Amino acid sequence: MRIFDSGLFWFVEGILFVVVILAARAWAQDRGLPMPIWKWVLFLLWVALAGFTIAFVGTSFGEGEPVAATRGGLLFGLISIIAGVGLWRVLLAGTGSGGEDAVSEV
Amino acid sequence: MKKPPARLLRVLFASVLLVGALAYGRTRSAPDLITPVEEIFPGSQRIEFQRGIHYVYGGAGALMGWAGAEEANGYGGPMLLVVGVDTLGQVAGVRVVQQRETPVFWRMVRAPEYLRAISGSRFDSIDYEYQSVVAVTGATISGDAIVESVRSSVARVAEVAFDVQLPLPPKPFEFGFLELTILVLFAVGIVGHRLRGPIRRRLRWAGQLVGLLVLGFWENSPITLAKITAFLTGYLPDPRTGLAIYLLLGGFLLTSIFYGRNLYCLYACPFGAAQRVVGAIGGFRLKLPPWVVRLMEGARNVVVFAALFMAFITLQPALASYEPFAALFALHGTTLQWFLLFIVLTGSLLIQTPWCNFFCPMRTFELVVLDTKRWWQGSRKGSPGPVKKASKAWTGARDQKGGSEQ
Amino acid sequence: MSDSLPKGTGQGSGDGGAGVNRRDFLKLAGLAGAAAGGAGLGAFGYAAGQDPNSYLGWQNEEGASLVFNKKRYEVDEPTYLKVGPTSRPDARVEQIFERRGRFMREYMRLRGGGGRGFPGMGGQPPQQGQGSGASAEGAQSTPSSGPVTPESFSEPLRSYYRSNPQDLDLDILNSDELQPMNRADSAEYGDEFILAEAWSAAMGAVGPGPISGPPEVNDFPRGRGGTMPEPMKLVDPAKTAELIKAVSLQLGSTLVGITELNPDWVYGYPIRGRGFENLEEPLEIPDWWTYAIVVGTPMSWDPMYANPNYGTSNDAYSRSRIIATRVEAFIKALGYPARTHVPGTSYDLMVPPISIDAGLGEQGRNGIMITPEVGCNIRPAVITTNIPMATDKPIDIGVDDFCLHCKVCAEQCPSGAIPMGDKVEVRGYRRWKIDTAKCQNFWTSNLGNMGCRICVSVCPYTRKANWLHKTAMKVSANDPTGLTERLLTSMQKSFYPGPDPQDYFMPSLGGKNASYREPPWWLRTEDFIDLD
Repeated sequence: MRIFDSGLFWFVEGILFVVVILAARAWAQDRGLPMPIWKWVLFLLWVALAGFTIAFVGTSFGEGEPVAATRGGLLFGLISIIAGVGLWRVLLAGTGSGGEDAVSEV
Repeated sequence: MKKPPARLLRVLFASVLLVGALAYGRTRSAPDLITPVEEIFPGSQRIEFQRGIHYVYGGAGALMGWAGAEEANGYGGPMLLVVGVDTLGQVAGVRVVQQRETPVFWRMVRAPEYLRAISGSRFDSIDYEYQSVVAVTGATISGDAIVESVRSSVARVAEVAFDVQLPLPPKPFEFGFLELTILVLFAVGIVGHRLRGPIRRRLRWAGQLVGLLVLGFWENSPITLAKITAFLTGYLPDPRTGLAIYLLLGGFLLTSIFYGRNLYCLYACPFGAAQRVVGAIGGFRLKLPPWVVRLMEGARNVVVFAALFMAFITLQPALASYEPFAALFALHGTTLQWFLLFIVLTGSLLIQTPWCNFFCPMRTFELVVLDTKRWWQGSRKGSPGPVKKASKAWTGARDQKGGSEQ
Repeated sequence: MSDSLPKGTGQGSGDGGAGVNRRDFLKLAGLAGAAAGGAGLGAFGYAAGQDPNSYLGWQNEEGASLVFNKKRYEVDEPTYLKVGPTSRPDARVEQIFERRGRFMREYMRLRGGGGRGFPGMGGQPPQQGQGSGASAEGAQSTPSSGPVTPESFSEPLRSYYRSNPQDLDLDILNSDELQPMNRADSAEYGDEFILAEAWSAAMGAVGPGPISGPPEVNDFPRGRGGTMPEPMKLVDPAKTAELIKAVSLQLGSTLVGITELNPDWVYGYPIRGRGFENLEEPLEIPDWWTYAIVVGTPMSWDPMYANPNYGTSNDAYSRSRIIATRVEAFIKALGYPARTHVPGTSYDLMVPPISIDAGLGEQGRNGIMITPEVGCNIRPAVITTNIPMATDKPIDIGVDDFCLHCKVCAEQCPSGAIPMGDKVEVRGYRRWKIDTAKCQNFWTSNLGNMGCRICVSVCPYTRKANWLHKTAMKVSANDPTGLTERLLTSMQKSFYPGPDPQDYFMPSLGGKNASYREPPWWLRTEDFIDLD
């Protein structure tokens, strides 16, 4: 835990996070995707969800609770995947590259 | 397209096997009443079953007392307790002969305490108030079943041995939010079925979402194979307290027969709704080749048969339950069911309702019902519309996208 | 990258001319960010300098365990309710240790046995079969082999057993059957717990002796020659409270709280071993028992999760005993009277409700206090005194609501001592009540270390203080809808399952000596001791 107590770890995580954001921004620009603030907010929320899932699994294994790690991983992972796919479609909506078709054909 | 009679013959064959399994299961699980009666009356030498109760005789043929054992409906299956009453009219002891509650629920009801509390009372002045001894919420069905079994057993002994008619309290008929919702959903389905186009779609979605929230997350009461198996093993839950499953199964059967469409699956089933919601998010677009679809549908039928077979042989309806519904709606399930839930819902992103198509026993039952109906109507020449709809229903490869009623 | 974006376009950037365009906004944001970041660094530095975790070896003493800000959750009344006329407990029969001690002494005379007895309580249960040997010294009834009824006992046991015949059954069951079974099973299956028992014995090897005098003698500080010093004049009760709390932490306590002593929590009659001469005389509450200081320590976490066999109570008991004695000495050094009430059995009062009054937590379904920091993993002790102090308010962190629906402890309790149903009224208060006789019957029967503590281990609140559980705790405490509680309860039951409660029992009772979780590596006997 000493590594994670020192500020250095979070400093590095922070830099990585900024790199991710810059890369995401570049990717969106290359695709000509408009990224208003609210889309960024959704993206960050999803990052928090996915990050929580990973941290939950790690913590549970660290505590010696493999059942919690597995089931929690499945539950939060499922939510993350579905939310991720949903986010993907929201980000891409309106660009004609896979947004609206096949929706709600019940 | 295969000839219906051939498929029906397979179903018939499978049914024969299942009935055999059921018969075998019943013989294996006949409850042993002698041992508990001997425990209640130590020193008993002879036990005779007459007029519906056991007569217990001790040394030198002296009558020690009587024992009554009447079944009551527990949560997981029939429950049987045996009550011994001595010649003075006092409860000599009570024993649990058979119960099929899930272990957590059974522990919750603390049966031994209740049984000890009523021992020693006179048979006509037993305080049946369960709550005063072991107040339990969350396992009311199990607790009520214990009381009912004891009460019926005592009443039987009272009638035969003492010629006393003990009053049995009337049970109120419970009709609540869940039951109302089920009726509304079927009603919406019947209406929606007559309409076309966007209105039908909206009604479908509205019904699905209500079903998802109420039958799913709020009440966790979808139809499960365990409940169907319970019916088929002759264990019918008390309709006064468990009306919901009668409404659901009744609705499923009646709409399949009279509309040719299973309105439970289309309007009420919460798990189907969950898959469709995920599908709407994911925009499923994967088309499976028809041979894969047929293979997986065949596999589904085999799995359903196997699950039923296991449940009948062991007479444990809970064993048949491979559905992951409770994992989604109550976070309650085995790790295997969790994995299944994960696979099904992520699959729903790409494929339309994978559970309904490839895993759900209700789809198999629907096919059997529709097969039977079509064969029945085909043998009466000149039948109208429903036949056509039925035949469309089981066209081997379904459209994966748009239009077709799933 | 940003060059590829034409100036002034992009959503929400306004037109190119008037107003702040996107680039300038970014530059301003960067500047503000730098300022905020810098300030943050400064604040971090200050906190690092003060960090209790940097006081190696004294982290807890510097308050490292105070991870939860309770101020927001203070309420005026505790979450248990006073609902009727109240009375003090008759500890002679209602306190399980005292009752069973009395039971054993009389029961042994009835059965003609002699020697050991209930673990830790003196006296030996009679051997199998009826004994009618020479009666013990001063026996009032001749040994008999007939059935034992409430009438066989003297008062106050007689009246108690008449009203609670089930407890007589349970007391006899423990003595006659469970203890011999436990000895037999320990001989055959107990090897795996050797290390755990050694560790527990070590934890219990040090501690203060028992209180030897009644309050008027024991509580007061004595100087040289038996003189009593003058109590020091104190500046302000609020400051005294701060002082006492800081010093209690420095003296080793994990949590500390102060409250006025509610007389309803004091025993109506004293118990053995507290220095009272006449145990049949009601306990008069001395007027210097004004306040109660509550201190306490948790049990070691990994062994605690391996309850009921590998865990022990000694780790927390001995530390809480020592700390309470230190606090008593500190108060006496200031010239004020003080008296400790400490685990395992040395009390003149009931500690859990006092701890709840002192704002350390709320009562849980398992009857004991649940704290926001360590859940139920705390063994508190009390020091009664009249040193003037400001008191703490009780807290409401949502335990009451949580326990209403959770019931994990009741489901896992092997003896069925924890209620599945609602609260009941006990001596004028509405609270959860466990069946202490059933509870003790189990925890004196299981193998390994004495005691059970399963309800502590399975409680969703009893979680280690990492980010995950601290966050869950805070969200649950702040959610007024109760949805979080339901979700967390479902997750607890699904993600942290326990064995079938029947398995916790010893083999002779149909169990498998199961523990809730595996023991830590340093308690695995087979890894360190050659058992063949």
